[in-house]
Amino acid sequence: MRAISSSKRREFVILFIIFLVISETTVYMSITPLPGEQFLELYVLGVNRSVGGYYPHEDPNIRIGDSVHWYIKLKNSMNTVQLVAIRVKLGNQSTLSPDILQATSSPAPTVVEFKQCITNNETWELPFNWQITNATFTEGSTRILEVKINNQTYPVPSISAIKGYNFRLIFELWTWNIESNTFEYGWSLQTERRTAWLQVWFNMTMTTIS
Amino acid sequence: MVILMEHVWRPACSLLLLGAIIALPTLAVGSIASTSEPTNELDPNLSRLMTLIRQVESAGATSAEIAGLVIPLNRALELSQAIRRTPPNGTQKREEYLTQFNGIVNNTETKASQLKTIVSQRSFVNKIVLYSTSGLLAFFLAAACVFITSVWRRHQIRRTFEMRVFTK
Repeated sequence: MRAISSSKRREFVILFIIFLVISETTVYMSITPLPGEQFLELYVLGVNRSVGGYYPHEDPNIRIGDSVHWYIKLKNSMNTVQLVAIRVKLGNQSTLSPDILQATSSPAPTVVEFKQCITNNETWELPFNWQITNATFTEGSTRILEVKINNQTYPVPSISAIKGYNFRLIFELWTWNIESNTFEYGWSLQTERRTAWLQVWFNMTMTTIS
Repeated sequence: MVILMEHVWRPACSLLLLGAIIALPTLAVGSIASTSEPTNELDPNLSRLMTLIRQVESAGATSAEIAGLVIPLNRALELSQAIRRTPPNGTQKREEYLTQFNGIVNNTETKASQLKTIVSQRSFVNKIVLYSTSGLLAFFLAAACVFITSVWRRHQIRRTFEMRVFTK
């Protein structure tokens, strides 16, 4: 058996160190997830799961008893499992919208809230079937008293609109914060807060009531 | 003395009563309006379960394993909402929901705890295997390189010695 020369041994050690650094770095990079952009997507689709067809007969004037079918979709791209809540609020033209810069939610009263836990890269589809079941029309003002959402009836805290124009349903995304143990509007990314909300306008004018 | 005190305190009492009369309906209206407002809190059992699921996930569980915990959690969320919606006279229904809720939460919690241990061990073993394999690979690559270069050098030396000189 021939002895390995010292130059060859040195050569081997140098090559081994080089290959070791390369292979261990490759392993580390493959098992460590890349810090990609973390976000949640919230959107609403019409009756055919497409953009459009939001109102029955394409008429934004909703009547008592009209069934409206939407799909609320939420995609989780936060790289972690998320516990979310979608708060549905009813507002009118003067209702303050959620503030993106201050990350504050709308002060409009919440009609209903849907909670769900969604895994990473999962899209949650929430069928949202609603109809106005009770409203009053007095002195040129329309007041919605009761709505039925997904076969459950909910009372509406006083919301009215002049001549029934410009009501809106506001959908806000709230997430469960594990550190503070509370639901918070939007979600935290290091030091900043991001929010997601949307709204769909509709009218409930007296002339449209059958 | 008593009569004097009564005389002294009467206007203050009237003011207090007036304040209470004004404040009570306001507070009552406020409480009625706020009953429909959702709370930012979560059932402590669900909160604990959610924390545990996050821990299992960060330990390196696969998406299928996480889905196996998220499905019962969502069912428990549905049940907690159903409990809240049940009218005060629906005691039997509430009890039924509560039993189901507790069963699901306890089972999922046990499952999540077991999974956390398994996944942590699996991730640790996987890391050891991966880093050791890459180390071995580096060793064999280095040895192969040294061997190939030595063969190449020997070949070059042989070629040099086999060279013949021709005169033009």
